[in-house]
This record gives sequence, structure tokens and C-alpha cells, in this order.
Amino acid sequence: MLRNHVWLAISLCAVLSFGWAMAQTPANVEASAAKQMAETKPPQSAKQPSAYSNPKVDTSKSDAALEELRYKHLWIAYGLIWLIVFLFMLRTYKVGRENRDTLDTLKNRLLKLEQKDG
Amino acid sequence: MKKFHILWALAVLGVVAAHYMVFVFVPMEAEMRAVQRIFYFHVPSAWLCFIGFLLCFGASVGYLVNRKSTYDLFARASAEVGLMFGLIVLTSGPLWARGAWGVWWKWEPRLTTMALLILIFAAYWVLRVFGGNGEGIRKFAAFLAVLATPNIYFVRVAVKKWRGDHPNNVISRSDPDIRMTMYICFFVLLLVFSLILYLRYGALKDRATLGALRRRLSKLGV
Repeated sequence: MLRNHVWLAISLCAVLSFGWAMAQTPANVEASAAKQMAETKPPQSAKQPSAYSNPKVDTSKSDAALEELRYKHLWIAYGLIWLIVFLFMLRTYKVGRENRDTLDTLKNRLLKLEQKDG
Repeated sequence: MKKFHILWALAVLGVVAAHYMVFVFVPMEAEMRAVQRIFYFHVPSAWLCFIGFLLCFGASVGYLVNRKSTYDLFARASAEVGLMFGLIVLTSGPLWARGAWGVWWKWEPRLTTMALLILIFAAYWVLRVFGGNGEGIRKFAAFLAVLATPNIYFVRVAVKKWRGDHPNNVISRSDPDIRMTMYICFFVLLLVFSLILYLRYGALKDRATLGALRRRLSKLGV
């Protein structure tokens, strides 16, 4: 019974985390991000372009690709975090169950032997 | 048992709250953008990895002094849980680095010392899994844990001492909302850590009882 609760909890965390991170795409976050960006100071480099930057080069494409990559890595990271926790729990659960089953069998055998011997 | 259920329920609620804080509440960091949100689980995981190894250190010292198997079992359980959090650090870190630095890995002091620390505890784990359960192996593992744990100090001071690129003291220098989210994530993961440690220790204890029972049965000639 307890194990079921544990698995339910872990699965819920995994699904929730993955789903939430997946929902973080540049498009749907942009509106709230714009609002939030106003609250945090932009870095100095964002205000003053580097002397080496070429104004003729269109960096918007590479910026968009980088933004896409960052969101992708965000959800992969959260997915992996919960996958590691899930696999570790699965291993612990399997070992625990095997041990308990074997323990019960051996205890019963011992009890029978003790009763037989008086 | 009921308390355990309540703690699991609290952990689930905490995880939900932590995810809300990470993905909805906290403002977007201007420089690293979305990939910075990995930090909220990456940094607390590193702290919990250290806590796991420190617990292993304490229990190993206890075992070397008292030779009680409870200490040995606790040392093994805490090292394994610490290693699990270390694995989280080593997988989420490169994903952050690729988005922030443009590379998956740098041979930078903090990353290198952290990788070494985790490799030493991975060796400890391999020893415990494949080395059997004899007195010699237990003592060897305890000494290994005692010798490996001080490396945490080198991981901690690596950035300052050897001028690394890894962000340092991110908490104290950050926005109050970012700081609060980081602390909430830490306490939630601490609860998850404690529950997993409890389960792992229970499983190892059951295995030890099983071994003792088998020995008793073999003495009876069964």
C-alpha cells in the first residue's frame, strides 16, 4: 500500500516537472518574460554592443536558435533529474521487495522447524 | 507509518510548489535566460550530494570507532543517495553549460574537483556492491569514505583559489525572488533526500537481517 503511494508520488513529480518544463517555449513565455525582464537589470553588454560586433550581420537567427536550445535543455534537464530519482527509487523498491519476500519465506521455514523440533 | 505517508504527501506538495516557483513565479534571468532555471535544482542537488557524503563520513567514523553494523549500513545508504544527487549535478550541469557557455564541459577547477569527488564515491559504491560484506571490505570502505570526504572542501574553494569560470556565491548576489526560490527548492529536495535515505537504509537493513537469518538456518543444517 505504502509502495503504491510512493510510486504515485514519484510519477506525479516526474509528469508534472516534465510537463511544466515542456510548456516553457519561447512563444508562450515571451509575454510574461517581457514583464519580468523589466524587474531584473539587463547585463551591461546588452546595453552597449561590443566594439567587435558587426552591425551588418543579422544575429536574430542565431539568437533565436540559442533561445530554442536553452528551452530544450531546460526540459531535458528536468526530465533527466526526475528520471534519475525514479530509477533509483525503482531499484530500492525492487531490492526491498525481494528482501521482504525472502525474509518472510525464511522466517516461516524457521518457525516450522522450531515447532517440529519442539 | 502514517507519519511516513504525511511526509510523502508533504514532499509531493513541496515539489509542486517548487516547480511553480521555478517555472512561473521567479523572474527570467536576463543574461542566461531560460537555461538559468536549471540552477534551482542543480545547486540544491550539489548541496545534498555534499550532505550525503558528509553523513557517510560521520557514519564511517562511527563504524571505525564502534564497529556497529548500523553505522556501516547508514554510511552505505547515505553515500548511495549522495551519489544519486551527484549524478543529477553532473547531468544537469553540462545541459546548463551548453546553453550558457556554449560548451558541454570545461576542465575548470570546480567541475574537475566535483567530477573527481563523484568518481571516488562511485568507486566506494562499486566496492560495496561487488566487494562482498566482509569485515575487511567494511573497514576499507569506511577508510575510503573518510579520505574522500575532505575533497568537498576543494570543490567549495575551487573557484576562488584557482580562479574558475563556474558561478560562485550565486545565492548571496542574486535577486530576493531568485534566492527565495533557491531556498524553497533546497528544502523540498532535502525532504525528498531524507525520505529516499530512509527507504534505502530500510532496504539495506532488511538485506542484513536476511543474511543473519540465512546464517542461522545454515547452522541448523537447513
